[in-house]
Amino acid sequence: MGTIIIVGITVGLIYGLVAIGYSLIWQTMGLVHFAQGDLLMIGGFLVLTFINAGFSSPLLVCILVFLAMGLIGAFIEQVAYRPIPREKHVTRIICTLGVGLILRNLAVLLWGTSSRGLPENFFPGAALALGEVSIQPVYYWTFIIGCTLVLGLVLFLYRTKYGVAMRLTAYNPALAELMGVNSKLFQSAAFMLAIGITGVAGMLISPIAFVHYNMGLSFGVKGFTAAIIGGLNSLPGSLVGGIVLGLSEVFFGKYLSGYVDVLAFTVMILVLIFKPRGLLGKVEAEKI
Amino acid sequence: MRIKQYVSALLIGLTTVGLVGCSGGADNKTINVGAILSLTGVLAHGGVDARNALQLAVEEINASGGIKGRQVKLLVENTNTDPERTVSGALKLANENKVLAIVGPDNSPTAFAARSQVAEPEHIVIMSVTGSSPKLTEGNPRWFFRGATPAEFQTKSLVQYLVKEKGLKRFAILSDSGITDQIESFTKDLKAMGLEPVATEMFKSGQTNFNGPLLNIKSKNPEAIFFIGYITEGASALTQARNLGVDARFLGSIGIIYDEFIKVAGKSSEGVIASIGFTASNEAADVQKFVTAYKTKYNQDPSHAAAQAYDQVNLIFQAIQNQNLTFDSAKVEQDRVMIRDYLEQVKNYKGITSMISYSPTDHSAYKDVNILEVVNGKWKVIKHSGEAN
Repeated sequence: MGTIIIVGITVGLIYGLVAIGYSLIWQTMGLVHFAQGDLLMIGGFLVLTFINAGFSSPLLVCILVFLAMGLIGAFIEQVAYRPIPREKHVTRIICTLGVGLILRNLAVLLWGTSSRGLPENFFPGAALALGEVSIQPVYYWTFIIGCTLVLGLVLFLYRTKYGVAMRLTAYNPALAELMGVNSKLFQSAAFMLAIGITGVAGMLISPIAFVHYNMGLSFGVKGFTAAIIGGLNSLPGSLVGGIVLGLSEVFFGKYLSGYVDVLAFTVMILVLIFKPRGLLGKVEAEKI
Repeated sequence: MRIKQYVSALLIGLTTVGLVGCSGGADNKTINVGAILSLTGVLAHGGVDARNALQLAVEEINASGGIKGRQVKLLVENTNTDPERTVSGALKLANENKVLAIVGPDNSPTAFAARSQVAEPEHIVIMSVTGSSPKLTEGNPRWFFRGATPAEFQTKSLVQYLVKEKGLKRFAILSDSGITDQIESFTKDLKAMGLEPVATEMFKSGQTNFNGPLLNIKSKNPEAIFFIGYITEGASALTQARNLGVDARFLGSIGIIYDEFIKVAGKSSEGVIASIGFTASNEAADVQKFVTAYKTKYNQDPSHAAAQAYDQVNLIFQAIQNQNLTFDSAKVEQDRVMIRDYLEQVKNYKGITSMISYSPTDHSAYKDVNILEVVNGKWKVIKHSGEAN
């Protein structure tokens, strides 16, 4: 049971990071960003590129991937999403699918069709013993990096004035403009932040699931599911949703391995029936 | 607006001319042979390998003057390991390019599609380069030929070796839910030894989190885990198993017997055991001749997919050589029948993979396999086919 919880939480943390990306982009741009999974894949491949360039410290690579993905995010937002007016919802969503397609094919051109994993011992350290459970370095590093990222995000959003400005832009862009906040700038910044986080998630999944150009689909769907379970409107909800999904996958995988996906999606449907806004979603009322 | 209309009309006109001009390739001077392979997709490494081997074979035969004075031309369609594209590619090769025969595809689901929707109805020989489902050659197909070891022969040798020579008793199965024939075959072979699998777990293609099924397998304490699936999932499952403290030996099925698997899985691939007909480390002279030629041209060892494709296409060349084909694209159906008839009479063709024999009622070829183990980062033959247990 202990192993189920530890592994479930770790994998769930990764789904949670992707879900946070969805939630952040949804809240600030009103867009469901279906290219999240493919960006996770790009993040994973970028890690390999940095390692091959000679960087071996996981923390340094993590920071580099975060920054690089942020820049990629800025480019994508400017070129693909900014030109489309916010009201054209369907067009924007189709655009995200297009971005995903381009990223997948770009990955084949840049990195080929084979799967790659990280070099052995990329995450240094020995296995940690916790009772009768032995935790491999990759799991506790993922936990540490994931938690740090989430903590950093929370501190940024709630304790810095830029974070407040970003939250205000998410809440009401027009109001933000009135308060002197450049809403377009903060929307871009939020997008870059989301993509940076997704890239780091790619780095965390690559030692255990291996990166290949098609891996984005399953993570994109799982991240979205996690965001829905937790509440698309809630960042902590995304994290909770991710962990719920991770735990379900491992738990159902142990006892009914052929039905994992069916059961995981049933969990999502049940949550939606009883808590349509997600487990931690806020009900929004608009005063007319 | 007028200019726009003119430009559009011009573009449409040019495209149509281009398409019409490009279709059909049956030039009465060349011999067209088709291939449907995964140049991208889940089995890209196998498909690309096979295509390389086919190109090598075509170059070899053309360098020695072609067949009956005609040069051979290879036309390849990419299936992306996808049944729909396999069918559309094969139909294009058969109907537009008028190929004499088709080599490929490279796994069972796509092979089923090629057999039932192209080979049998269109009456064109399709020889698959891998594809282990026993059902592929059930029901007496007359046009589809299997160029790979059926599952029942792969698992039989593996089980006998492990139980009789290594004394193993507790086996677990971890399988891609889309590939059920190997589970049946393996379980049947275990039963024949008086054993049952201690756990049978499934996963879906593309799955990344194997911790659940692995935890269940761990609780049943197996000595070996038979993994049925493709390279990425195999490497992930293996890595996650070791991370969970599951030390049982991994057994592979045909899906992971590629150098690519060792590259992706790294050190954890040491000690993985599997069974297959061809391996590049086989010292036999004709095998090494092929391996050297392949390696010189492509800078890597050929996999079994490459070797099987090479044997298949050489058989087709032999059929073309020995039959009285018309080489008239208007009479291509007659030529295809002659090729099929020749192939059904092949007896003990010594390929680089194994002895190949076909008959009108048996379109399944390779029956003898070697047992391989990953030793020092390479697949090594630890037991040759035909050796007694």
